[in-house]
Amino acid sequence: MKKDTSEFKDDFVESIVKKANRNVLNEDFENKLMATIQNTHTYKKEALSRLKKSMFYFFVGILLIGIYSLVSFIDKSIVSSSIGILSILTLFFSTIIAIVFMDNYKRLFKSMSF
Amino acid sequence: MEEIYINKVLSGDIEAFSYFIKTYKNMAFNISFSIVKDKQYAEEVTQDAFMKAFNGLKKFNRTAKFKSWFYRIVVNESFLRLRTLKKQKGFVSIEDQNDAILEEHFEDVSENHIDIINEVISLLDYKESLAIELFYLQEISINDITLITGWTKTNTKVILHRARKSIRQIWKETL
Repeated sequence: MKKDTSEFKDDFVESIVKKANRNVLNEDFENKLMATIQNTHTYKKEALSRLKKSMFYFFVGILLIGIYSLVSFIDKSIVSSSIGILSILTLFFSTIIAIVFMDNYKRLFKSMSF
Repeated sequence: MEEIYINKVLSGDIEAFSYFIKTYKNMAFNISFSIVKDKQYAEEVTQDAFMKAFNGLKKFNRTAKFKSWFYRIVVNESFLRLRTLKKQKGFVSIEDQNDAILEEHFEDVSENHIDIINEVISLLDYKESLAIELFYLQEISINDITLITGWTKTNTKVILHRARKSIRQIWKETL
């Protein structure tokens, strides 16, 4: 034993504690735990992939709105195109938020039930 | 060896983590049991500790030993569970349990040698039983124990001294 542990060398105590029953986990502990880890990992991967897809569609949508706004601005008067753009933007964002929320909740409920 | 498996897990091979479960599950369980003194809770804490270790593997500082890092997680989770249990209504503290068991024990001493030893160990305070588990059974050095438990070196030595004294005292009283 090293210098700092030699003061605790105690054959009596060591003999007592080493004779005590050692607790052992169930055989299936490992399998259960690995299954939990796998499920958690798969869920996170899927959630991440869906989040990336959502973000992609969101930016495509923003881009399309931008292009449409530009075309409207050039083609019609400023006031009417502003109202039109605002309505479309509101509708677009509401739809995206609604879909994202519904989809996420559906996935969450499905994944929490395993 | 562990370095290889850590790299495998971090590169996406989840099955490689089973190496750590196989290697450390019983040790983690015993450490947890020395604190929470209940098999079911100890098993739950062990599972939580492994989950935490898996999720935190990216942040693991590889200059330290995996064993010390993981045991630190086990000890922290165990203390957290113990605190939660103490707050629950109706939870009997280890000290109260010990008094009750001691009284009962003096009236009916078991003839089985191993039973007596198990009884002696179970009567220890949770810090003392943890120190005994880590030092004498897991054969971890004082320095590593300070890393795992967060105790100072002096405190660790005091707890070990107390644990040895408690074992001798309880053993004497039992016999």
